[in-house]
Amino acid sequence: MAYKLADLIDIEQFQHLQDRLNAIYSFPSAIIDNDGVILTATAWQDACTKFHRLNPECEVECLKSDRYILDHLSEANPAVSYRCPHGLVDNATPIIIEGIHYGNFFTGQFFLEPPDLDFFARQARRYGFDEAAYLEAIRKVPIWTRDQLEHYLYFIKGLIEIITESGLKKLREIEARKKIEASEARADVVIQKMLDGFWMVAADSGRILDVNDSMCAMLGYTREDLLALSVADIDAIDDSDEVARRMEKIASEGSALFESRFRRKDGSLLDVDISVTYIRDQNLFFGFHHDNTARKAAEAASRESEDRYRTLFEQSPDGVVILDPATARPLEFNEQVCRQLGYGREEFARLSLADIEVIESLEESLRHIKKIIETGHDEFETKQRTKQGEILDVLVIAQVIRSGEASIFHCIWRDITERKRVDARLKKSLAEKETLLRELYHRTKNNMNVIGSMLELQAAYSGVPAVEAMARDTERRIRAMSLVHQMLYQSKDLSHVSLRQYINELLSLLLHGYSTETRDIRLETEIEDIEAVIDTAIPCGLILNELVSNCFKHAFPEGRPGSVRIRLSRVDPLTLELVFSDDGVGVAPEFEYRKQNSLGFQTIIGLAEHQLQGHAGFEIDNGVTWRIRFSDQLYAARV
Amino acid sequence: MRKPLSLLLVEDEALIALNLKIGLERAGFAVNAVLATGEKAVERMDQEPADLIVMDIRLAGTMTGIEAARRIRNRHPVPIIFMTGFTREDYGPEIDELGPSLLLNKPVTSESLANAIEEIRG
Repeated sequence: MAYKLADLIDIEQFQHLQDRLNAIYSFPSAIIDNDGVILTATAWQDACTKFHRLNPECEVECLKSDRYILDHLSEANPAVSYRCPHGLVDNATPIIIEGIHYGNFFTGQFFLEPPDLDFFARQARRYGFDEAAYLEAIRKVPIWTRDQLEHYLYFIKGLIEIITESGLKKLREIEARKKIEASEARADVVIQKMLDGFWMVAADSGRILDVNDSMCAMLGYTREDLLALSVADIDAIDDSDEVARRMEKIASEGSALFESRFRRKDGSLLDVDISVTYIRDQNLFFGFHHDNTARKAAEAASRESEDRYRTLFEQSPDGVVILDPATARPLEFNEQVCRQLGYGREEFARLSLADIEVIESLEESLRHIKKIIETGHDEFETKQRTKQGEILDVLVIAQVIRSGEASIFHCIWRDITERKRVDARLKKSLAEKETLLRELYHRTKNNMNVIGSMLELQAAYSGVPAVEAMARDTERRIRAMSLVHQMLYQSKDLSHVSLRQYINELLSLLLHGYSTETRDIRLETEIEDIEAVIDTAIPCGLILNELVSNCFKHAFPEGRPGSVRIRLSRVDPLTLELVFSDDGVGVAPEFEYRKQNSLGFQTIIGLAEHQLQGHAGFEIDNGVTWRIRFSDQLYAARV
Repeated sequence: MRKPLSLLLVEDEALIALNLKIGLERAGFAVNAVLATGEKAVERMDQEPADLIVMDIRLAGTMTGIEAARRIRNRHPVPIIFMTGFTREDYGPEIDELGPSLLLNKPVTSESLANAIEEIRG
């Protein structure tokens, strides 16, 4: 702290001393600090105050004297002296304590030899002073010897320094004490208000000597309660010898940090982190403790969680490996990885991906890893070599787990060798079955064609037209069936055929078969594209075969022109409707279609109503109309 | 009147072959021979070339109808009508490479075959 001279000297007391001194030796003097404040002053000479400094012209010389003194202070030993043009002497002594310049002691306005009164009489005339009064004032100015002046200056300088030094020392002591007091007050507040518990214990008896509010709150005691107890009363270590041993150890080592457990007033326990310091000269322990219940619980939870994940990691049915992305070497891995690759843990830990990976080179693997780190995830199949040289098919699920700055390269290596084998066997078996089924459809169709040919041959050889006609009808029915087999053979799923394509091809065959009779018949079709299974397609085809054959044979006799309309549509999610109509010769109004004995009618009604569980309706209008409804959901796909 | 065509019928199913033969003859065509294998067809064409061949694709023996046709075509540029129970997708490209020919889907009736012969004859 920077002090001023007035802080260090009792100004009033010093002024008093100076006055006393002046009473012995009339000696004008003053103490002026660095700011120019006159702290003490005495015995100014009338010659100066009433004459020289009052006359502006004369005062110029006084000011020169002041200036010279100030400019030469640094050369003072012990003082700097100046004889003013009026013949008086001025002195200044700097007050320097411990190298710091606090102010100056001025003395002067005296003569070092008797004054030349003629000179002063001339001065009076020059400046217009009252000569008598001026000379009287001059005569009052003391005359000193140089020795006297020197003794005086050394004395006064020494005196000021002693007083100032003493003042400085005193002030410093006061300041230091204030600092200590403030620091102690702060420490007290901190200790009392801090969240951690504080206690002071006598090392010899273990008695608690001081505690803070937190200590009381944590343990549920009042301050008075605790001050009546000893450490052993609150320490949850039941063995008092153990408490004593611990205190002894702390005393010998000076301080200790450890975990412990306190017993609260209500008997419950409190986990704490303790920091204890032994103050040897006072034989005291100072302790601070922090409630670590939450931390201990978090640690326990963390341990439990880690154990759980470790178990998951270890017991995973898949190999799990944490790879170092920079080297492709394993950092961590579970037992399953070792089992599936046939290595011991220590052996595996020394391997690199290059020792295991079959498809990618190490450089390719490292590039792949880099790419995965950019995208965060990848899933791919590869092959790995076991220790025994067997090649495994492995599904790799690589995941980059980012945690702050660090990234973990987590890989699941799932051995899919067996699955791949089974898949391949299944695919082969499926392909074989497909081939077999296509072959079967093909042969069935072929056999039907052979049967058709047999019938045609038989008819041709009979020479009987009715037999030939019968054989042709039957052959057409066979062909309608055989066409479904051909389409099934061609279909993608070997199970469904397109009714639109089937009906169109069937109609094309029939038109071809009745090419003579149908020369002037216009055929209009409107067939919705519906996929049907064989069990639906065949009866549907046979019905249509009968309707069309019957129509071509009877509805347009002797080349009568006309038209035939065929429409197939879905009327609801379960039901299809086949509408067949012609504008041919028709039937008599009394015609009862259900009472007809012909094979054709019976076939139509039987297939529609018995087999397809639908309904065959017959209307007589401008020609005839058949309206056949049936379900295409009676049969599920069989393959 | 045009000169009657001489036909070679290659079909391994005997009843189908017989039925077609009768049908074709009724329609006025002369069927020179009915053979069951590609090998025999190749041999027969070298000995007694026909004007037109009706050829099943899947035949008895080791040679398919297409293979037999390929060999025959090297020496005899006759039109060939193929019959198959399989599909155009199965054989189409191979047949197209062979030059003038037709592909009929089985079952093939005598009438459709007769129409095809007339068509290919032009």
